[in-house]
Amino acid sequence: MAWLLLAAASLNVWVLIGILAAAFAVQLIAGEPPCPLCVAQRIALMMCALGPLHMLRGARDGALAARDVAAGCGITIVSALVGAAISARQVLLHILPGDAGFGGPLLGLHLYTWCLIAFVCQMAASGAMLIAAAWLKEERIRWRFGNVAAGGFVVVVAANLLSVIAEAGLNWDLPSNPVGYLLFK
Amino acid sequence: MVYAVLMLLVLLTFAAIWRGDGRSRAVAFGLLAATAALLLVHVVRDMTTPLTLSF
Repeated sequence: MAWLLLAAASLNVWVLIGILAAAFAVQLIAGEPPCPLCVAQRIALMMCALGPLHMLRGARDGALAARDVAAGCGITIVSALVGAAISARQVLLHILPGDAGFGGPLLGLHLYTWCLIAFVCQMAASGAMLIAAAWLKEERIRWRFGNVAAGGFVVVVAANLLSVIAEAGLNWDLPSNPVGYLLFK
Repeated sequence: MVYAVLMLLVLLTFAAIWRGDGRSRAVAFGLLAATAALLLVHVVRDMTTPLTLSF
């Protein structure tokens, strides 16, 4: 069961990195700088990834323990709740008929709606991992993919950090409807 | 800059998690709680100040 939980944790980190990279690609390719709530959702997605990374770290030196799974899933569920609150807020801002929403839709839904779906799926996945932890035997297992996932996570967070500094410039907050990068103006 | 600070907090939390000893773990949970609280405060501020932070 340990290897299955570690595989699920690795996959979870890579899915979150993929979502953050896709949002970054939309920002750069479509030329749509993220709004304040979009950036807040990105931060919540990054916090969600800390849960499975905690599990991967627990298994790096020794055996994966049930407490690592519990703490990791707890981190993810709390972060996903925060993220879901932010996404729901943005969905409700644009729920009135005739409102075109913020940014272009992707497969018929706006990015903040996809984010809400992602946060709910994240909570469900963490719940499933917690249930699976009931069958966990503390066995020593070599899992080297954790370092690669951690590296990918650091790269995507650092890229977002630089991007948001460029977008906000020297201002404390982002404009409500950003159209460019204030640092270069 | 507030978002850069929050992302920096996420990176610091990750560093504490990856360090892995008991003390770092406590630091990581503290940083995570602080990040979540700051993010929630930011959203609540957005909800109570109509259309200033969000579009």
